[in-house]
Amino acid sequence: MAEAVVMVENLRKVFRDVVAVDGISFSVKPGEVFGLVGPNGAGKTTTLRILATILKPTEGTVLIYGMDVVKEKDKVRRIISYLPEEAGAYKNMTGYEYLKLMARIYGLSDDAVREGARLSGLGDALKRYVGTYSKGMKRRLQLARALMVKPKLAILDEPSSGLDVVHAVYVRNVIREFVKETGAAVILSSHNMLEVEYTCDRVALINKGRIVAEGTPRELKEAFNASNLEEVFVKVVSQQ
Amino acid sequence: MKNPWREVVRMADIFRIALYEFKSFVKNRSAVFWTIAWPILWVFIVAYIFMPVGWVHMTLRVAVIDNDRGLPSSNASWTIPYLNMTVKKNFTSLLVDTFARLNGSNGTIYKVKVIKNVCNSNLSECLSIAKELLVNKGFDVAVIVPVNASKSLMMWAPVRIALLVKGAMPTETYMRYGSIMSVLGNLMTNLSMRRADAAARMVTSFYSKFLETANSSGAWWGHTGVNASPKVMERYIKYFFYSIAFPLYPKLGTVRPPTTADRAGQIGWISVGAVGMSLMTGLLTAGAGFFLYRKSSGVLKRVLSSPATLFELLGGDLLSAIAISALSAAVILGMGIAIGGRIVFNALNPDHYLAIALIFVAGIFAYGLGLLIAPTVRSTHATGAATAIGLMLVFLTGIWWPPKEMLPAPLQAFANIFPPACAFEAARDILVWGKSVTQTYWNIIVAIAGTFLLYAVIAIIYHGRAEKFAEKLL
Repeated sequence: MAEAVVMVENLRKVFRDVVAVDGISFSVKPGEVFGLVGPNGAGKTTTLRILATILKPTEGTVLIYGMDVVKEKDKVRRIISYLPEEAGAYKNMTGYEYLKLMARIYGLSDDAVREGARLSGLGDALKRYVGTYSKGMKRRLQLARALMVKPKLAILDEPSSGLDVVHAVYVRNVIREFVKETGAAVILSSHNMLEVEYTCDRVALINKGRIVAEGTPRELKEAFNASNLEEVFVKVVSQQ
Repeated sequence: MKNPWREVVRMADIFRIALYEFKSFVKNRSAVFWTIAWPILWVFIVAYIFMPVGWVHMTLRVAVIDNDRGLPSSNASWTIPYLNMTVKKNFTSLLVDTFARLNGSNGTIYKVKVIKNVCNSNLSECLSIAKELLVNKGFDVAVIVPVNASKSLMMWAPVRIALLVKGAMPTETYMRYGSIMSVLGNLMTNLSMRRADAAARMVTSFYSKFLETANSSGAWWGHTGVNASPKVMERYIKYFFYSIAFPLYPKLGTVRPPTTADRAGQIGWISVGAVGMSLMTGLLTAGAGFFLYRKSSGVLKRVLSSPATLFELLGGDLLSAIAISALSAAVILGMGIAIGGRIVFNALNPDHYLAIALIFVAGIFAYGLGLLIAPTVRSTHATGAATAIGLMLVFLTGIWWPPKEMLPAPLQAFANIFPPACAFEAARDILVWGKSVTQTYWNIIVAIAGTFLLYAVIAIIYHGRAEKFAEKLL
């Protein structure tokens, strides 16, 4: 059995009096797209930030390729790539310059930059300043930045949030192709059930800091007797 | 075992980050304004508003309240016997002529207005009117000329004038008082010397008559022939009276560095101060906004989750800040030279390179000061406060204005231990006064040691906590 890319056990995160994540456990395999879905404030972003090593868990263990995200965060950061929900870019740089800066931070050559340019699909727009981009263009640039470094684990927080259909479909396709080509794992969060259904191999429903359901989209629909994941989502949340 | 090549790569990462930060700055109009354009604006303001071409220190509006009855008639005069001297002018005219003659000298312009018939020789009434003129009519000094001033002048009696000087601060009062006294002193000197000459001639004239009589009779002295000539006597008497009038006759000189001896040097001095302003405000704000700027531009989370370490990010940010400061300094000094400033830099003197390095030490300190408050900075308002702190420091420690010597004692004491102030003082000692490093070593030690100490404190504060600081902003 392939080593799990991500192993989360009894993860708990408390901010002062607020329990954001309350003892969740899950795993992600190589070549898998794993979705974390849940209502606002469920703990999705907090979980992803812990995986991305920018927050420390209060309790529990998070291993990425067997490396602890707290004790070995420097090593973990070399094999992951994180795309936050409200990601920005240096607006006074061109798209190309931005990709180049990020590639250099990862110690990569111009090949990675070219790959990033290809993934973004922005073409000549990469020569313009990022400050002139539309929201969809910025998101595509950010996604390209996240994937061009060929991470073993891509952590994407609402990758198509706020995008129109065209851009959302593009993002979805890029994620699937990336996983197919590289065999890497992707863990993403989303409110878009259609996107989750099309993109994710397995899904975990999280509510109030706890995983309340987990499985493939088909398994979840069957378990909750729903025609789509949206129905599953509503049923699960209303039961809580 | 640490891979030494990893350290090389880390340094390369730092330089790359620095380069991109620098490029980003150059394209950021707001940042360019505050770091480069703003200090240049100050250089222009100082050069053309506070020190315009042909500038003077001050302009004094002088009200001469003239109660003098003057000479008996406008055509009257009084001839001094034995001297063939005829006094035609009254005292007030002499006074006004003296103001006119000294106008513009010592950097003061005198605008004199003679006001007659406003108070009837009643001193308290005159003082009251003088005060009114100073407080409400825009005059700076009032001179009250008494009744019979001209008569006293002619009779060689003291002319008892009264002075009233307006000043919001003691230093302002002293400056104006000094300026007026220089005019009155000049008039007094003029009158005293004339009187000494006249007295000497009167005594000599009498002595000549005496000698005639003594030599002709002989009996009164008991012998004939007195050898002292009238001319010798006149010279002796004249200097005797001079020494009564001027027991002290100081010759005044000043010691000024060649750099500030003239307007060109002064603009050069101010340009160096503008560099200090740019560094202290720009770098302090950059350090204070280290976390916030990355958060507000949306890159903080991704940068924190990337292989770049906080050390590399800080190093890159500091390097780019120094590069920006170098650009800013070059532009500011270049503009200062372009508008007529003189900056003394001897490329063959290694001390002058140290002076330049000290300026950057001050900048590094300012950045570190910003890092100290960075964990508490949550908004752009707070970074505005950092800019205000930087501005305050340049004004309160002699980096910009006023010079340290003009600060109150507590601020001088603070400036003496504040590393950037010491760095700029050492730089000016070397570049302006031509001192050697050994003559300003204490400032250099404080500047460098203070900067090391600050970064040691920063290392202690940030060690193990840096990511927590960033976490609070997420």
